[in-house]
Amino acid sequence: MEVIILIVPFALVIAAFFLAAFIFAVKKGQYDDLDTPAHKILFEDELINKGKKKNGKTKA
Amino acid sequence: MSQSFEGETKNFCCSGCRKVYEILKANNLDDFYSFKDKSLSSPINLKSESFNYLDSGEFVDEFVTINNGEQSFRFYIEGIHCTACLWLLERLPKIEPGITYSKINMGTNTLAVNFKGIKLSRVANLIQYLGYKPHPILTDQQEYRFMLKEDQKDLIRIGVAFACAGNIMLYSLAVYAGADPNFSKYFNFFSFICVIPVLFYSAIPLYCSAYSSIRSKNLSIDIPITIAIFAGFCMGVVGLVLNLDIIYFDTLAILVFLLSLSRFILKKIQQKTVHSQNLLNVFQTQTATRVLATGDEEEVLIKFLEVGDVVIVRAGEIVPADGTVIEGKSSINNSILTGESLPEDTIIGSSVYTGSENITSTIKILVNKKHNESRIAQIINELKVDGESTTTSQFARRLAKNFVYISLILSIVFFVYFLIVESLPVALERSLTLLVITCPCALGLTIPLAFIMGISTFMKEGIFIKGESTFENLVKAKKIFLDKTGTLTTGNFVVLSELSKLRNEELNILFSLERKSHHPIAQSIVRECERLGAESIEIVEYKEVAGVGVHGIYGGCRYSVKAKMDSPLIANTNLVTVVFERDNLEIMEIRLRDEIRKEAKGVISYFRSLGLTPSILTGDTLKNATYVGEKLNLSKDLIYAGMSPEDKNDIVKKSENSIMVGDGINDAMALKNAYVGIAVSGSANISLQASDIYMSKKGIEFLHKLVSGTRQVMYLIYFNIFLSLLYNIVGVYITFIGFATPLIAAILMPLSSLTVLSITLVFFLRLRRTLRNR
Repeated sequence: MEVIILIVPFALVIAAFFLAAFIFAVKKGQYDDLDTPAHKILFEDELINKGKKKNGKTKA
Repeated sequence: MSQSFEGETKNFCCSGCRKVYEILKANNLDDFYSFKDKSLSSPINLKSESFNYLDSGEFVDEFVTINNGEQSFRFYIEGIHCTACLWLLERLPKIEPGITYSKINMGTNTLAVNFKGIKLSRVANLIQYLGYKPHPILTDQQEYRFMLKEDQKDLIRIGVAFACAGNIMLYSLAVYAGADPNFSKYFNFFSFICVIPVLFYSAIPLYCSAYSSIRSKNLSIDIPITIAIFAGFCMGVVGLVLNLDIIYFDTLAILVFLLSLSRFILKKIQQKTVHSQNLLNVFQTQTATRVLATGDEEEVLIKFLEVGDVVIVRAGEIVPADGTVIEGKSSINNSILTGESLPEDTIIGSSVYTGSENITSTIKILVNKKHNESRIAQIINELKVDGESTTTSQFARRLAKNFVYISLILSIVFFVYFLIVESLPVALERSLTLLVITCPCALGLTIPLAFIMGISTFMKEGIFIKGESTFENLVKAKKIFLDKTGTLTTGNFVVLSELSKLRNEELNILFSLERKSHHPIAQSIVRECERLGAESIEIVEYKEVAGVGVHGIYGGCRYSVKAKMDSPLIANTNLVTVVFERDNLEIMEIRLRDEIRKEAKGVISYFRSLGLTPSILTGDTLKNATYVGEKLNLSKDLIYAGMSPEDKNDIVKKSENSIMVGDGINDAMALKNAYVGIAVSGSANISLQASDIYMSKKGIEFLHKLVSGTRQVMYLIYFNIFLSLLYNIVGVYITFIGFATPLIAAILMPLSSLTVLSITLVFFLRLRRTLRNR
């Protein structure tokens, strides 16, 4: 069971990493608006627009 | 409707859609259609508005933030339905290169824009052009950013507490399960490391609030919590060094995490409530059309009007400033100030006041008071002096305070007693156990939770409750003053005479005559004619005479609809009579009445059964009020008619524990002084500020929901208090006999919170269902 002496600090480091990721996300403002991003998930207008220009065709 | 584009034929439902297609196509944005939701709700009815007032120097200075030459501003957008709307509005920079940034928040329906080198009105017009209605948000941008930053800080604090508490739980589980002494020492050491960020970072707001409550000489729950945290931490450190079994870091970490989480949720829900109330103000951005010396007209926000300015008020507009009429003749609905339901006539030289509605024709007004000195503004200021009304429940606060006293005193007693009878470690352990076990956590959590869930439950029903104390006050109230128009009556005049007796041609003439008038009575007649299938026909020489009626010529005859106010027939009722004439010969007498709501009678007797005495308080005539009163079985001494704002205020002040329901500015003072003030839909801004509750829908059935719902919420709270008291008494007892160790206390504490919490949640699920089905 002595391996625990190694595992516990290691687990703590992993926990610290995820905590840091969380803090980073909060500071970047990812939690400021929880409603809008859900609607944006399918947007990829830049790519589509480029494609459109090449084809010169539009769909209604 | 169809049109061909580049050889392809497209079908459109309306010209609006065709226009949108054209714009989108011209800007290469026709991907809109691939996102478009089939279930689009119908677009809002757009009254084209010019936004020129947004460009005035005063406006820009006050509300627009400028950063590196880039201006930023936020709009509340009406008409966002779906993903496609979001997509389109965020493509504003592609349509107008002057806009550099555009971001929607679907939760709050706000759009943040940055722009450079163009005017703000251009942005607003563009949004309107796309088919949405922008409402400028007149709050400080700095304040908004500050709020976001504060939320982020809170979130990080909670995140840290949660991560640490989670790890500590793992370690202490091993210790409790009986790890051998070497390992348990090792685990305790890691618990110690993990508890440091919780106590010295996450818990800081708790210490601050404990400190400030000591400074203001007010005992709050935070004081024993702070004491318990520090005592627990010191004991833990001593236990770690001396290898004693008095380490309770897990208890502390969980305590801090649960407390900060519940407070954060509380704060967010409160913010949301306040936010929706702010939005109500947004809708009241009012502008005025100012006539310049050159004869040109410009639009400005009313707060920027100066004494001596001349403004034009068209029919249907709100008078933007106190002043005197210098041109034109009209009739003005002053109900917002006086409560009078029928319009008053104005001629040149009459005084008009901010907030009243100009009904019949265009007038010019010479402004004689600045906006902040107007009659309305003065009432507003008077109300603001009183400062913020207390929002937290007096009851909950008192209870928590007593709790804190008792647990502090008891733990000292325990400490002294066990120090004498037993030893120092036992005394320390028992008094800490007592602090944890009597910590009014369940109480501290459920009371605010119940209030907040109550507030949000009612919000879904369109009832906004401002403070927690309002719930208690509603239950304690003894008397309810009801507003006549809108609450007891529908506020719409109902045509009593049978218009179907008219010949078709006459009906059409009546319809066409009244259609052009904004007067409420005319509009009721129009609705009735529409119901009977009247059609519009051409009337020549149409003229509306304020306070008298309308007339016009059709087929060589002169037709008119006139008020007939003083007929002896109607002396004792709530009736209004108008006469429809051809060449001064009566065709028909049309009688109308403000209809009483169907539900009114039932709700009034419900109020009586609760011990609430219903009473009518109105600025309208005694004649009208008694009629309504008789219909609802209210005795004469409960009817107060012809009340001025001051009279209303006096009556409300005199009667103890009274609920007041009202809407106009004339009610504002009384709403403020009432035990519970309820402002109903269409209320003036000022009434909203003065009241404790805002109902977005009119009608007495909503009062019924409110009164019965709040009572249930209070019963739930009483029940929960009883449960937590019971738990605490048992806790004190088992601590005294030595059965409870801090470990048991730490298990019991969340358990009791959990019980009370689940009771609360189940209760609200049921309450929501019953409110919806009623």
